Amino acid sequence: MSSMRLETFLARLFVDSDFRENFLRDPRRVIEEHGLDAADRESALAIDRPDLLLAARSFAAKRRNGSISAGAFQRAKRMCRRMVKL
Amino acid sequence: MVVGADAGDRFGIGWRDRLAAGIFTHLDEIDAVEVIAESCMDAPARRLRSLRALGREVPLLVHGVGLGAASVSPVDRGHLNRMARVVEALEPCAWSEHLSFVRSGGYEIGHLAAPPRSAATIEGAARNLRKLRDVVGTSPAVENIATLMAPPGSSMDEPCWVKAITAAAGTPLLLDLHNLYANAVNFGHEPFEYLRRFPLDAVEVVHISGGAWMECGGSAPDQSYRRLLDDHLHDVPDPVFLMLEVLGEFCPQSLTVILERDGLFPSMGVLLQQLRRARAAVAEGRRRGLAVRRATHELDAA
Repeated sequence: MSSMRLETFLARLFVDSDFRENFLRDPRRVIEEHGLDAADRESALAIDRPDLLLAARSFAAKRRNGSISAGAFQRAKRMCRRMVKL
Repeated sequence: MVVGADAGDRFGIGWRDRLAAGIFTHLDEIDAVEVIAESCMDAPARRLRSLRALGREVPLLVHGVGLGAASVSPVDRGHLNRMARVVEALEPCAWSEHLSFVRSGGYEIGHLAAPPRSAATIEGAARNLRKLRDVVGTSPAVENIATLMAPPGSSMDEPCWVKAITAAAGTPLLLDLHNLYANAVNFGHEPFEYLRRFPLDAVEVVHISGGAWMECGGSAPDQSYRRLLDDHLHDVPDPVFLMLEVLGEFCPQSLTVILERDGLFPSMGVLLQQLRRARAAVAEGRRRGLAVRRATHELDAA
């Protein structure tokens, strides 16, 4: 069951880079601190990490430019490659 | 019965300031213009008057990107009031908003994010869309969005979720074919089968655009994958035109098809060529659909 807490958790993952890094490093701790219910905890743990980073980068580029610029697109590609190698 | 792409169908382009001269010069080939609502919200009265004047030449549509209607949270009332003022000022023939969330708990995502596809967001979206209708005066068409991340907390897939929201809210669908195509190929669906599962009877407006593939190659072969990014910076790809044919075949209602381009602008000639191709694709689908219906009618009569 989705909830406002889960939407807020996702929004914060997209815009707060420190929060996102903490989540990638220790997802269970961050999820616990955010107070998600049991179903939402499982959903959050299942987030695909490279896709999360790709989405966050895409949103950041759009916040800066209104749309994805060619430069931001290339940066997203490089970031995606790095993430998959981790 | 609609039998051709010229029988009520319209083919237009998204208004961008960079395209203004080209749009005004080629209104003989452009049946409709779609304006981004947020670009008008703080605009001087002169700009609104100009757009309204354009609306006397060609049907206008207003397209919102900032309400975030598909959410368990209520839409921002201030933003909704500004949307209502834009619609009142421009008097468009239709307006639309995305099935996305854009903010929550004080965090502004700044763009369109896919919410969990669940009963809760269906209920939230229906509640928000009723509010939009009450404040603006007409229901918006709702648009499917592209997402690079499968929305967590989902209990259903995208076609079912979209269908449930349009049914619950009684809103028409703005079907973005490149968003649909990107989600299909990024998450392992056959695109044409995926398309047929959307509520095609609710489609009134169609977006076409382009994107680019990102090769996300890892160090091992099994780590590599690709993602199609819906960036509106590239030409409309062939599969999107084929999907338009499918819509022409299976949607008897009139369609308004809008070409979206946000940057890396080619010449106006290239954009108009894509509009002509869209027109031809819908016409081809209409012809095919009519032939099937005639054959079925003859079989029934025999």
